[in-house]
Amino acid sequence: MKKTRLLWSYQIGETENWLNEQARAGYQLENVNRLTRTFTFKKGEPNERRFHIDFNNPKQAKRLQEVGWHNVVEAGKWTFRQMEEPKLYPSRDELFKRIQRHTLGFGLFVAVGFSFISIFLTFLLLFDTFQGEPGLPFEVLVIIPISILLLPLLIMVYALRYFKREELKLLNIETIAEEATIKKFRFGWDFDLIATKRWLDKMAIEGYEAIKFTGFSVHFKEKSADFIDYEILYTKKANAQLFQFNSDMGWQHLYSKNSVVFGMSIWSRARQLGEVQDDLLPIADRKGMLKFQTIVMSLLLILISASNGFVFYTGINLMSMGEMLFIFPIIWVLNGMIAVGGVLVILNMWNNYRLEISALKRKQEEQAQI
Amino acid sequence: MFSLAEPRHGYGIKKLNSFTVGRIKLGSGTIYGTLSKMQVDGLIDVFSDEERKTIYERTSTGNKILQRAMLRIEELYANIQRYKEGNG
Repeated sequence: MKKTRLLWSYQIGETENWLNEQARAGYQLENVNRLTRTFTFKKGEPNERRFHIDFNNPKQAKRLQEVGWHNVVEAGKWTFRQMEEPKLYPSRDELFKRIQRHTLGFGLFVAVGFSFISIFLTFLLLFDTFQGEPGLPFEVLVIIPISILLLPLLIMVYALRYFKREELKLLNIETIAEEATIKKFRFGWDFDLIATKRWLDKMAIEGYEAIKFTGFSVHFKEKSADFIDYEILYTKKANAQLFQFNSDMGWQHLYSKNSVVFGMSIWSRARQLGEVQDDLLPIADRKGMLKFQTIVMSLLLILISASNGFVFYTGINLMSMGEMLFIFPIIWVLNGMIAVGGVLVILNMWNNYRLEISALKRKQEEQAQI
Repeated sequence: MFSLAEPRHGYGIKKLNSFTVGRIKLGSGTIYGTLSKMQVDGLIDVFSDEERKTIYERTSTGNKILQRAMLRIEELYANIQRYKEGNG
């Protein structure tokens, strides 16, 4: 019997459950074809053994065999293992890294495709204009390219969300399902994270606990304990172990992001009066990461400010040259505002950085005295 | 290293603070830092359990290193005993 599962390698948990069901029904896995995404089964005795799918993990193979796992199928870097009542499983680190890699790869692929399409369309537009004849109608020139550009963007947003969901499922990290009592609009909260953390602490004092972060807003509920501690971790690359460890320690995962230059994640922990505050990172590590994050974000902001300032400057010069659609001056003014706003955020960010570092220093001195 | 006499979760390690009669109180960050350092050095290995919680287990290299560390401390202890007897 052959069965196809297109996305099996991204839904590892589901695939394992599915294989378990097949085994229980008496279908034993014989072969896996990675290209056609097809699983081949052989009819045999039903069994209650559990499947585990492992990726690129030769180091732990010996220990796993000792514990009682036996290899059913090996395909490329994948190992399908089976065992009755297993107690010890290999870690999911490599699988997590794989999903991360694919998210990044897919993102780059769409971005490059997106640029090619835009360049192609721009040339088409230019060509059409320079011919001087009444070419394609305006609607076609504007609407079709925009819809062609929107489609990959939508696919990308969907795919990134899908990957993120599967990533968290892989680590067995639960998201908060509760309803938000208030939603606060906070544009650009992920730029200046120190300021965001201070704001979260203030909200906790006022009685609100963050449960969800979206692009432009933060959702809160009434706090569940006397204190809510927040930690923002900056990591150059995402790390399955760190996420799982934090979750084991009672920290709630609220948000995480991984891009080419850096990754960050936000965690919270409810604490009653009298309980000791828990740290997620040693202070020494924290200083370096703060600096890294502040420098990277500043550079990004400088780039944004500079490019917007440039467009604003050229736009103002162009305005004296003659008639144009009313929309252009509006766009240029917006560019100018973004440029100024960016500079203000950078200044604020460095001020916050200074405050945070001195707070950390005080804390370190206190700890040294104990 | 002692606390990994049997494979344990991160949380289990943290609860073992009572080991030192409360002398050492470790934050999660410190424990994580130590564990990942030991993993890089090959002293421990990381698995997970039925609930997909992380389990840390000592490797054979880790066991050897622990034996050696214990011998060293025993020697130190013997020296202390001898010193006490000499002065007592």
